[in-house]
Amino acid sequence: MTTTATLGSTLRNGFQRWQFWLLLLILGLLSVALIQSLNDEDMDRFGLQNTALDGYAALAGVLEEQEVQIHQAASAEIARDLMTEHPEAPLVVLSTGDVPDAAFNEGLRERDQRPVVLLSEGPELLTALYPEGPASYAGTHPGGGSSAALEAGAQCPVDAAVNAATVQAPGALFFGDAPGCFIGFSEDAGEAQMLIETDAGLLFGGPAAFTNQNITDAGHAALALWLFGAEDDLIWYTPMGVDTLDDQQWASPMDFLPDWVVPLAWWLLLCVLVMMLVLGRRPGPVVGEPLPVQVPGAETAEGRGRMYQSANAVAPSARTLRSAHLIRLARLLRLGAAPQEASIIAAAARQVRRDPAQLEGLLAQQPRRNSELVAYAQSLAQLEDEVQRAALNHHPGAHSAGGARDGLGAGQTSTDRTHLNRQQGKNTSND
Amino acid sequence: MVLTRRFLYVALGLSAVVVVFPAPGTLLGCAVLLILLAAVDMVLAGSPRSVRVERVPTAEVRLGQATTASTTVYQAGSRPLRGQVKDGWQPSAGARAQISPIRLGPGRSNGPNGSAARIQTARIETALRPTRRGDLHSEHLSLRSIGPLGLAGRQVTHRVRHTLRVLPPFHSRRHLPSKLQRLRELDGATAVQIRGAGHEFDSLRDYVRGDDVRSIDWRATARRQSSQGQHLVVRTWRPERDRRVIIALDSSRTSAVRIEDEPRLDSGMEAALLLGALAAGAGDRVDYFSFDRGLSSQARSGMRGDLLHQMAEAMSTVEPRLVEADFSQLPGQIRAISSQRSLLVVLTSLDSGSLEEGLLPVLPALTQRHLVVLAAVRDPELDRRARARETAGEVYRAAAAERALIEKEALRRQLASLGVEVVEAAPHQLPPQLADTYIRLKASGRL
Repeated sequence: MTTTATLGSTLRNGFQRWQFWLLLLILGLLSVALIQSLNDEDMDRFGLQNTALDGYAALAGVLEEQEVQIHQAASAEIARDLMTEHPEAPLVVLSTGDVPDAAFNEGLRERDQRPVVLLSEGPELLTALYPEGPASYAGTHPGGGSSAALEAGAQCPVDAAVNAATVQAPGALFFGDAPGCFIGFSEDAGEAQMLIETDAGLLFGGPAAFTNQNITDAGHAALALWLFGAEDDLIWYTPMGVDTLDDQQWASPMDFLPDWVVPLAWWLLLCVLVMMLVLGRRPGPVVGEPLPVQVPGAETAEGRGRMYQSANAVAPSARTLRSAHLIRLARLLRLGAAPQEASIIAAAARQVRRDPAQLEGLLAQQPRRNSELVAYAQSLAQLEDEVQRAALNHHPGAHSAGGARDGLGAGQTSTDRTHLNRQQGKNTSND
Repeated sequence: MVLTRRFLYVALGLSAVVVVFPAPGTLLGCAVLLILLAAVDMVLAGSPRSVRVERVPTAEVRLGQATTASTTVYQAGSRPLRGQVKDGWQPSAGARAQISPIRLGPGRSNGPNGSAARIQTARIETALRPTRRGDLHSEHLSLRSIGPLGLAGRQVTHRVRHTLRVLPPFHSRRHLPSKLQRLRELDGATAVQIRGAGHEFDSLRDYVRGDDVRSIDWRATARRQSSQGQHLVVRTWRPERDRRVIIALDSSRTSAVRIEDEPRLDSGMEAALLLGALAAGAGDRVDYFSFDRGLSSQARSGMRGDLLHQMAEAMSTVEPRLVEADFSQLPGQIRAISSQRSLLVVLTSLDSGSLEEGLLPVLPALTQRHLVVLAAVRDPELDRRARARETAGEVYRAAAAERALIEKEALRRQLASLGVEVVEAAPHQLPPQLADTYIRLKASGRL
């Protein structure tokens, strides 16, 4: 039991310690998966940007060098628009299992002079175009090296195939009502062709021939250039699943999800409810804290200061500052309880060795603007500082530093203070 | 009902089953399974209701000290109990880990001689570091009992109150030794005497350098003539003992003001404690009370036990109240304590509003019979504001601060004219300065 508990706590401690890195790892994995899922277009089999062995990137590159502009269409709608836009451009329909919708097939069957190449590895495209003949699917050709190469054949009517001479890729074989090219033998149906001509266009059963892996084998490159490189524009249409539906009837995304997603979603919803119950249950009632009353100090002074400012009370502020400084000067200069203003000025002037008239002028100033008030307040503070410094020079040791402001403000006369200082001195000598 | 995290993990684990068998039936089955598991676990869990909770009384602590609160849980149920306990201390009690695990055996002993009785009780210790003065409470103890599967359980809150009394910190205690030393000097215990230290004749002794020549007793000197010459003899005086010191602490609205980092009331408490300790050490009788509209706490010198402790305990639960102080009852309170002349120390604020209307009218009655000292906390913020003069806004604020200072100064003069000693100092300076004032008054024999 102890071991389990220790193991459990070790795991928990470990989890707590590595929590950040675990989360980072999970996030990293998720972002990699997301990037992967966003990039999967390039991983498509026979994708024009796919540089893997089964991609068409090499073919696309060569066509681009030949100044053939490839217009890709992801849906029948886009393909139709492109066909209207480029009336002369050849159309390539590449089927990898999905087929175009019925309307598009109809359009293909009744096409104008536009060259059309149908690429399909299986029977789907042919079946969709001609469910009841005249052409039909004949089976697969296994491919497998130069020994299994298919010859174009003497009766081949297609110039591209004649020029390519051979193909050796695996693919589908078809029976056509007219002579075709690349004759092979399927096991159950006998002689059949990989390239046949239909009303809808040239149907080629070996799209694997144009992959990055196989494009350089046999006559594949020649065939590709003859088929796709004839014009400056090329419309490249790869049917998707959605194309088989009506334009008006869009598929629900749910149709493409695995079966277990919906039940799992419901279950996870239930788990969220459980989580709310688990985490929401308090370990006990809420505990209150009776808070004491507290008022910030100097609140009154702050309020009054703000009031002075909002009322632009320059004159009252100046008067207050002046009286405050006079009271302090009187105390600094030891002029008794209630000295006359004139005697304070005279004593201060003596102390700082300045002209009494000048000091009187300074004190009598009546500021009218904020800037004047600031200057007035500063000069008053400066005067007090000067007097204090002079007093300290005249009577060193009579005051402790800042005594005028706080020491004397503490309810002691200066004589009391000296007395106490002496006592303290005796203390130290005793200790 | 309680569900645990393990229950959540089991539920999340069952999502694998849902993925493998995606059908509505699976969902239903999993849900039923979960509910069954939780129900079974809940039924099998030991009953959290059948325990008895007993709080172990805690000793008082000073603010800033750590302590441990203990609770004993007695098991009376027949099933073992496993789970967690939460002690519901209020936040300012500073409980470090409020939730602690608990494991109790079955209440009825099955073994011989009640051998299982040993595991029937569990002691829950909660480490506390209070951050506030006063009576701190834990109103309840919540017991969560988890079943054997660890998936679900039951929870019950037992409402049993636990109280911890937190006394004022008495930071000013550090000043006490030096102030007591000063008192001893007054007391004649040390060689150096201070002139005029008391009026009570203590003893005669030889003159030593530094003694006041005025204290030489010429008659005694004449009696001690010897062959080697004269031995000067001085009289020593000792300060009066058994004087009364009455400390009145104002706990009205003005005491709620926070200056620097503590309310005025707390600074006053510090000062009162230091003065109380000092005066008690000097042999005076100290009485303390706090008041707002009425008496809010008191400690009398006649009470048994250590006075300082009684004062601290009485103070601990005092909180500022937003009411105007009723100074008119002060003379009555003091008469009730003592009829003899006393040193009355009023710890309040130099707030013109409250003092002019409240204290000043009753002061003559007080000063007539007693020596009154008014101690108040000075706000250093006002001085800082009065000095800042860079911008117009600062100057206006400086003017406002100066005005407050002028008002205070006027009030002090008025009080001084009535014979009141005023001690005003910054929060941390107030206790030593009040102590100094006391020593000075004692030295000059004014008590």
